[in-house]
Amino acid sequence: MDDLVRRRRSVLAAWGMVTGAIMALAAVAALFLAPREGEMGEVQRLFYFHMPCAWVALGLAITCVFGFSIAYLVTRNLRYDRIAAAAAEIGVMFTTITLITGSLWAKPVWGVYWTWEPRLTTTLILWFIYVGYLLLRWVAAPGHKRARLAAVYGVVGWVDVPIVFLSIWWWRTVHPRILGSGGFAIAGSMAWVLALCLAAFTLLFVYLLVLRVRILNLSSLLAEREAQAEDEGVEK
Amino acid sequence: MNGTAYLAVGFGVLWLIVGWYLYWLGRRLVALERRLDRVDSAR
Repeated sequence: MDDLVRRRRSVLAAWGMVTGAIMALAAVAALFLAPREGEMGEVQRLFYFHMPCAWVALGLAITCVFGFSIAYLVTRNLRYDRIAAAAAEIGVMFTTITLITGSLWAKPVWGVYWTWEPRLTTTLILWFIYVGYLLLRWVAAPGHKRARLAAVYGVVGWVDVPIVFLSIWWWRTVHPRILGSGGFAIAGSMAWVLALCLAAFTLLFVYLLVLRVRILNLSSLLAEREAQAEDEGVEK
Repeated sequence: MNGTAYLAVGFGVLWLIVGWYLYWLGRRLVALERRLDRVDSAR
């Protein structure tokens, strides 16, 4: 194994440790240090995980799918297609967590796990769109045809992201509005915990993305090397 | 269930999903690196 691979491994391990430490710090801050909200009580603390998950899913992962899909369509470089695929997988995972944590918060506060209001409905649509994206990649044979199809789908599907974000301003909704024109509409003692959680989840996203892209790159390299080894065997 | 129970379930679900995904990524990465080493050393 060459030095570059070893160095990459140690950088990845160090990144993982830093991310783990900051995630642990964010969890302690959210569960124990943030003040107890007067009306909702303890369940309000779910918000410190729910909003960062939504940020990672929509703001980072799905937006990465959009950006790297365009990059693939422009350059036809399969490396960009692999990054888009990795981001979509992480995006679906965090959208799932966003929907689950949101429902668990809604039950004691709204009295129901689910209601067909605009923010929830458009988020669920987004989840279906990107589960469809993953299924498309799963059923199609690897190569440029699949990459092209997935890229177009990934770009078109992203249209739902601004709709999810703006839905609470466009339609009547019961979903809380945290982001106002003057920034976060929460107390300073809660805002720093939220900022820490947002930073921690952003680091986690980058770590997961790097790890997933590395796996996809290695899979592609392995397929290439195995094909070469087979050809060499046939020639002998 | 009270608010604390909902919080505990939400926190648990979050880390169950992320933890499982991390475990799966780690296992897959190690397996791929081993297979690549084997293919390279066989050539």
